[in-house]
Amino acid sequence: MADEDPDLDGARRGDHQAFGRLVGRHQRRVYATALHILGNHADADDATQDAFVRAYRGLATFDGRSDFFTWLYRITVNTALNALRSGTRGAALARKGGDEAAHVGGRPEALGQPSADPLNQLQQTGDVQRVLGAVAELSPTLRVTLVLATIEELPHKQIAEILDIPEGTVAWRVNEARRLLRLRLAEDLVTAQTSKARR
Amino acid sequence: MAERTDDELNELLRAAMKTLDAQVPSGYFDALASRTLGRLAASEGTMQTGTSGTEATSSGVPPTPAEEDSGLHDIRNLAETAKARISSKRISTSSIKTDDELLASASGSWKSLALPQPAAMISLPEVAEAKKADKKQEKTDAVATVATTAAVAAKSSAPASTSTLRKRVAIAGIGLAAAAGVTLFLTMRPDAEPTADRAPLVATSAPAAAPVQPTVQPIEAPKPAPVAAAADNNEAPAGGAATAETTALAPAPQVAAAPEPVPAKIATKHAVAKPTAHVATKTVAKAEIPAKTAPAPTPAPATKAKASGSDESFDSLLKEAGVQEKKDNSKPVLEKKELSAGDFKTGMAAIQSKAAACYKGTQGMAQVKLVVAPSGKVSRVTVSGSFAGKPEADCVTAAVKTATFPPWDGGPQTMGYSFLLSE
Repeated sequence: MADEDPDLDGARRGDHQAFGRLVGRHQRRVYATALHILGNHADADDATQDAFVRAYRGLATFDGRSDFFTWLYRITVNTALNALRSGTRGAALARKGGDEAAHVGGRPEALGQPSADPLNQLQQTGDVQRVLGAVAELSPTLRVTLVLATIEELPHKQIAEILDIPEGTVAWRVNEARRLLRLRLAEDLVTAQTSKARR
Repeated sequence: MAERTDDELNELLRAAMKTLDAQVPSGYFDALASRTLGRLAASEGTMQTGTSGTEATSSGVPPTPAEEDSGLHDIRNLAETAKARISSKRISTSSIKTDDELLASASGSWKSLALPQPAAMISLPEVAEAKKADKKQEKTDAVATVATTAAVAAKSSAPASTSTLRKRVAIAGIGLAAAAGVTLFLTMRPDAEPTADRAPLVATSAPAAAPVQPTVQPIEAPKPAPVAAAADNNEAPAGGAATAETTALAPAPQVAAAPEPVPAKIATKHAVAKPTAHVATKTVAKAEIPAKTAPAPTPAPATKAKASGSDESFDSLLKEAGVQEKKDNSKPVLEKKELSAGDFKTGMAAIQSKAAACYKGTQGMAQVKLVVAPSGKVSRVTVSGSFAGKPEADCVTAAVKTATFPPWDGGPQTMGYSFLLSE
């Protein structure tokens, strides 16, 4: 299967132009995955490039028995997970991302839910900010698992293969992430209501 | 918000992620491929210079000659040389060629458990040989010391030009003469002992000794008689025939005549005080000391000569007695080399009722760990489980200590056993 892809064959032979074409074909999804996991553009950009470089270096180990993107996706997820684990900057930048989202939220079309109601806009912006903040508080493993299950909508079996963990662990992580998320959002809600009442 | 369902939560998450997706700057993807290729080229350039180790190890780049020289090779070489260095340093006396030998040389406790063969090959024989060598060394040292002493004595007697030296030589001579006398006395003592020892045997053929021995016989005769009989067991089977043969082998006239020159008191004293084989062994050992110092210019040869002169078959008798008594003193070789499971169960079954009697109202399992000595006796008992530290444990310990097992030739063995204490 892989042998039928001329760009892949060319990249294996060391042809950078062919590899550049491969990057162009898969860059949007790779970037989106990295962004959902890391929560901000800067880290997602870095992780995307890193994932492609790792994929190029690992082409010799790619036996072609699976789809190239599946293999690349696995590299991307693990690269993003490593980036999350490498420090707290992921969480910090996710907060920043939340702030950016709040700013973006000023443009209703960004949410895909056009609304002329300023109060509704504000409400939605506040929710997005709180959700992103709550996601940023999760541990890297819970965060990645939740994103893969909820945003990427991958089946638990595939997530288990990507993260190299049992399916039962995937299910537990998703439930635990949701539980913590609800808890965090409830705390934020109480805080928001309290501050509103003071005003 | 805390009451949201999973679907609502998912919707919120998707909405938040869409917000993030909207952050992508325009034209970002147009330049991403070229920027990725630029990073790839930059990392390849860095790797070719060999400065980036982490990139090489984490990426899994297709194997190219430049990358093989990027550090992995050096690590492998380093590991190989380190291993070689370690194995050459571990045991300098023997060359270790295999990993098993290397492991065996690392930990003594694991040798006997996990790696018995390498352990036997490397360590244990060395220890045994070392002990033997030590003993040999001690013996040679002792001989050397005696020889040195003799040499010093000879040296001191050689430059006897001055009067002081002559005096010293004279004193040394007197001392040597005294030593010779003591040695002679000690060598003569066995003559009296066999007389007393073999009195019951000799009595049949030598009635002359009878008037002297009766006072001694009731007390001491029973002990030496079996020894003498046992000593001659190799030549004569047993019983009355042995008596006749022993009398024939042992020079009867000499044994009977021995008490004659020696005063009766002394003969009796010797016979009473040291009639056992143990003393005879000591005497033999003492008699052997001068024989060892024979090469040195000491009076020992003279003593030996005198001893052989006074008793023609004394040496052979001593040798016979010595060899045989050594054989008798040696530890009896047991057929059993270890305590078998069957023997252990039998021994424990014998005290089962005693242990069961330790029930004091609380039902439970008393887990016992016991150390059995090669003699077959229990040397140590520990009780674990629910009864540890309770009166039942003391009771079970006492019961287990009464257990006996057939002896074996080997080391102590640690065994485990459980008693159910119930009504």
